[in-house]
Amino acid sequence: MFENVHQATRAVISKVFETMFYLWAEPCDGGQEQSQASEPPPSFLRGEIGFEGKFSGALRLSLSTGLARKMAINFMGLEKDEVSESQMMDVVSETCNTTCGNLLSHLDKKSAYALTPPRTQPISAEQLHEESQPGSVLLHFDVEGERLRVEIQLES
Amino acid sequence: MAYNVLIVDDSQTMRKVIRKTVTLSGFAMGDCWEAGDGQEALEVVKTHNIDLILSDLNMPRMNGLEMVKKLGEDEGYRHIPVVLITTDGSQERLEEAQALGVKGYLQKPFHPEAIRDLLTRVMESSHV
Repeated sequence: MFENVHQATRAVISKVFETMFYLWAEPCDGGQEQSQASEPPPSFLRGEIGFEGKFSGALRLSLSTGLARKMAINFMGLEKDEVSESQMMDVVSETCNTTCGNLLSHLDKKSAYALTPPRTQPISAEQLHEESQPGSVLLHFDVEGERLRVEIQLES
Repeated sequence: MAYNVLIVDDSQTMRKVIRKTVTLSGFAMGDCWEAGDGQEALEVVKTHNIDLILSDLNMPRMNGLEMVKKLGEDEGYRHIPVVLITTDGSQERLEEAQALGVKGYLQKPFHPEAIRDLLTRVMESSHV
């Protein structure tokens, strides 16, 4: 089951990022990004959505605001300085929604699932690298030089 | 002929993106209105001349399928074609939507050409 989730998540993240944002997401290891000493410390966002049906659980996307900004620019057709924090959070929530819906369709084409409203909030760098929940599938992606952490928590 | 479109989604960002995508796709869109959920959409339909509704499925207060049911109960509005734009690609949901009379079903994420082709097809079949 977990291997199916791994494969499906890789396919879905790749499709979602390419179609919605024209960004390429490549699976990678979970190492920390190297930041330049002169750059300000990065800030991070975490989006979360719950699902209930044949499988139940939650999907979480964690990423830097730099990546969220790129996603919002490409998705909404905005200039770099036009993107507000609430638009970035909205785009991350929509990404959770789209990723979760597509992932569930990949795993189980027949059944319908109830999804909770997605929500996105700022997180600290420590929270970004915290241990995943027990029974979770954890994957990392390199999205054009920025890290994306995807966690799928499945309830037994 | 240009069609007046109502976009229903609880995310303001998604409404903007859908509006922009439909505009850029080349679909013949006339006036465009927006609503944040099914309940709000029913109010817009009562007060404006709407030719086509593009709606999300999961929304607070009244979801997309409940809205379609309500429209179907009213002789004055049941002719308005509804296209669902949703992340839910399950067979069960698709069959439920078709049974309620939903004319088109588009799973996110989608390319602009996909929305133009679907909307053109839906409007052509509605005017046969």
